[in-house]
Amino acid sequence: MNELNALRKPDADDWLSALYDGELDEEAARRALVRLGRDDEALGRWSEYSLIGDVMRGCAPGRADFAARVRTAVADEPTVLAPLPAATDRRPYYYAAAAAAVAAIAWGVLSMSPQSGETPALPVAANDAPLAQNDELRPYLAAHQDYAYAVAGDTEMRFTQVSLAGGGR
Amino acid sequence: MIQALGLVLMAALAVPAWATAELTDGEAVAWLQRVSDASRKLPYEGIFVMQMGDRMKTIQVENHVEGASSISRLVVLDGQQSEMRCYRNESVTLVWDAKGQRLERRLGTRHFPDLLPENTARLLDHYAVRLAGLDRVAGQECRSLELAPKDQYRWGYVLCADQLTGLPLRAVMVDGKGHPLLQYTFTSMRRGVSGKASLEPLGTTPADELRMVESGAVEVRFLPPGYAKSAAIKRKLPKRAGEVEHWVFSDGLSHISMFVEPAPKNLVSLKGQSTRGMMNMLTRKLGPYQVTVLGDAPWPAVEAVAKGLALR
Repeated sequence: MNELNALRKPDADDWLSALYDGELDEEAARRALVRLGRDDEALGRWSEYSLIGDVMRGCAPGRADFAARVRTAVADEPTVLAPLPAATDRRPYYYAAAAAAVAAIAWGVLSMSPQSGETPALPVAANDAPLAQNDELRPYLAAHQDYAYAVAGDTEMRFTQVSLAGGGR
Repeated sequence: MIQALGLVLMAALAVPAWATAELTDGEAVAWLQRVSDASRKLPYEGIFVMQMGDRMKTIQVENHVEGASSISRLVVLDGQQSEMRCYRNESVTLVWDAKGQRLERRLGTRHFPDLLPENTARLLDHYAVRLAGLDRVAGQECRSLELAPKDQYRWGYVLCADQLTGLPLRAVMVDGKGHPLLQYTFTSMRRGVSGKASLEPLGTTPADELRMVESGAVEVRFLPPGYAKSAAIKRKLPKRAGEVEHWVFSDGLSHISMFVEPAPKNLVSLKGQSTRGMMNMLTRKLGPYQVTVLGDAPWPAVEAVAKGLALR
């Protein structure tokens, strides 16, 4: 197995397998595709990957001229490349924005609903100047991490002064 | 020939034929429970690396299982020397410093790889669970399991669970874009514990008492969905004169702390955020009190808790 791994030349091929796996973002994929169009050796390996993948999936091959076709395609359209299926398709987070929007609405409803007693003041005005008060507030961090993690590193925090209207109630 | 074989293997690993698979609730609970049970009931030993932002720590861990309970020992291998013992309901830390050795009581008892709650069904309301591909960590095959938050009040997790036992070999806390915030990875893990079956005690338990708080001066009127109180104590903190109330709220994976103490004069409200945004914090004044809310949770969660407070 070690021998096989050694043959893979991982560093040289990483960008190619990442492209093949759809793991690159749009910009990186674009660069990789341009590079693929200019690199005969890489095109050869790409062709092999595809062929092996097809054989393993039971598809008929018959695409020995793949490299030549990619080269021609890239040469014909040097600037316009179709975007790859985004790598984010494989991540579960693309709906996070939608969920956040729903949650934001929920919070809006909650904060507007009548509550007994005083309603907490909502606007937070941030002062731009970051403050270095790590030392003052470090004990809280340590105490929190003491609960949440058995072992915690020093956490660098950036502080900004905010004003909570009615905070002094 | 060997090269061709290598390419075949590589291609087989590269084809994302399974991609990620959405699980039914039943399957998801089965997977999560397997992971949770393995973390507590399996004897193991190994070394893992913890990475938080640009900080890294290496920790040696042993989990001894005695009947229904387990005792684990963690030794920090770099930086300041310290050793932890985690029992079912309490844990202590042995610290070496300028004054020599001292034993401190800790509030939490959990640690990697034991991160999921004992009852994992509660996670399904707030996290979408997906099964992803096979991977390899510490030389062992593992299966990736993704817990994606269903709202803005918690971070996600990606675990890689040992194929054989379900023990998490890697756990990554991720933000909404899938960027890692905190990672744990075993570099070596062995099932079973070599050497002595049980651990020698660390010495007498520390004298300081953690006193439980029944009902505090501050009322928490809003908790993000799924969060519940998991601890409330009075404790001394360094650089603070009196005792501080420390409350912890958790959804089983994310934790938010609240500290209540008498307010100093001229208190200003401060918002704090760690470099990658993983930790968020808000200090405010509430009547005669200074209240500090912080957690390894997104800002909306910390903000909502801090702003929903009222005097009792």
